[in-house]
Amino acid sequence: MTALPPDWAAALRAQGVPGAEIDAARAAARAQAEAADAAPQDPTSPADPAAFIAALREGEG
Amino acid sequence: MTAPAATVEEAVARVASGESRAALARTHLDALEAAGAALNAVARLERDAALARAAELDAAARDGRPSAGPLDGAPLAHKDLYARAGWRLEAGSSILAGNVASDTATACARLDTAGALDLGRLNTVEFALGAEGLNAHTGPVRNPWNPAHVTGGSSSGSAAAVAFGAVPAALGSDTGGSIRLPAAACGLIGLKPTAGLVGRSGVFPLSGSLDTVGPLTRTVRDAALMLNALACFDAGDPQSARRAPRDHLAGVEDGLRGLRIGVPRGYFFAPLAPAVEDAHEAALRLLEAEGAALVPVETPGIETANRLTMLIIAVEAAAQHAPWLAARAADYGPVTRRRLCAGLFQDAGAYLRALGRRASLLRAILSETFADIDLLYAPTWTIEIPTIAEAEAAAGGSSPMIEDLGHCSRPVNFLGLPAVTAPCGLTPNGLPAAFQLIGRPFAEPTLLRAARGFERARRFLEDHAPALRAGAV
Repeated sequence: MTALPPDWAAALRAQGVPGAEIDAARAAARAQAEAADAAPQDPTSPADPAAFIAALREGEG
Repeated sequence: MTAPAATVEEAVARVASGESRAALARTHLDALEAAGAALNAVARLERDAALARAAELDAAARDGRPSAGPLDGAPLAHKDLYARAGWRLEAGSSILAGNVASDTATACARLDTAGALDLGRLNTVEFALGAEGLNAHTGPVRNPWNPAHVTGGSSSGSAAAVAFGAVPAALGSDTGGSIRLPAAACGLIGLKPTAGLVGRSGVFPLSGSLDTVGPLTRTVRDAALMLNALACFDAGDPQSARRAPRDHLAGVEDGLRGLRIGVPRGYFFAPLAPAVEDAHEAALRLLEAEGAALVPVETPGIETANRLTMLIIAVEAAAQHAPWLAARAADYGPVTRRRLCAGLFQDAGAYLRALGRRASLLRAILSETFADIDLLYAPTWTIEIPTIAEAEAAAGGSSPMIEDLGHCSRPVNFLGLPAVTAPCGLTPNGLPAAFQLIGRPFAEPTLLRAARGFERARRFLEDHAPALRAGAV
């Protein structure tokens, strides 16, 4: 089992991953999060995968 | 030397009329070897194991034991993401180089039970994370229609091998379009089943929430046959649905008459390149001429579904790969690593909000978009199939082509819906154009019926198979 690093950017740099690649990954993460936050929020829609599976099964035509 | 079987149905029929499974398997192993050499489609053939199993089935038949099943003797192959006990599972990676599976994936076991012969592993994008069909370790898979072009991904070897005629069908996986995009790029039928219909145990995960597994075939009837064998409850797959078995061939010839097909001109058509528009307009006219009613529809929230899919894939894939990223980051291809690392830097709240939107967006699409239709029409690719050079330039740049390639396919995974892609013409560069039909949950019989109705009228395979067989490569 491998313990995970507390600082991913440092861990990746230490393995020789270019800084520009790490910056690009961070930028992609930010863009994805912004999209998630900008989407209409529905506090009644739980993140529980079971809720989605239930919606799928009740939606059968 | 026998000729390869063009379809699963043909292979099964030939075996039923007395042809040796071993001889047929040998023919397809040779064809796969050619597809490997010409197109880089093959990770590894398992000649000895396949021929031993074929000989076993031949002997059983000679002894008068009952036929192995509905896929008796069908020569197939699988994406290098599926486990088969004793065979390597390397997922197109260096990380898993030399890894030998200890169990067999549920899907492979189901095909075994149905009598199919697994001939080996087909190349994939590294860990299935990419829609272009590129791979820094194994090299790009080449498109049988024109080897300078990509196959799309991530089930790239599966698509190339089937389009080349090396096997009549192969297994792929689809997390954001990875069955549909390569099937479309290679002029094939690609079936992404409803989430939960086909068991995923033993398939190396990319995103547990969004992964689905299914077949790439040359005909719709073969897709139905394959789904008959594959659909099952899988106790090892938390998403698996308990459902009564269905015969997906029943009703597949019922045609398009009476079906209402939604045409969402907004999100799905807006980014269409002019070069692919004509093929879609012609396809819609043909669907209508065959008796389908075309209904303009809106798809509320679909843009959100697309963006949230990327987030979920990034986070779930990064979580899966974190131990390797911590210790062996240099062993990934740079594009794969960049995509994985985006998930390392994601906020847990954003991820949970993304998951939380799935049920509500699905309900909205079903109650609004699907209120008055049976199926939804959408393009599969929005652009002509690019060359390998174009795809490599885009994948390495700051605006990855993947964001465009999955535009029409990713939302379907977010919603968990079934979809089938079918070829509908050629674009000016001589490569296939394709559409997908998207259905309500578990509406695979309706999807296959509609796709078969179109296939029968369009006769794409009949028009183009000879050219493919003659060898574009």
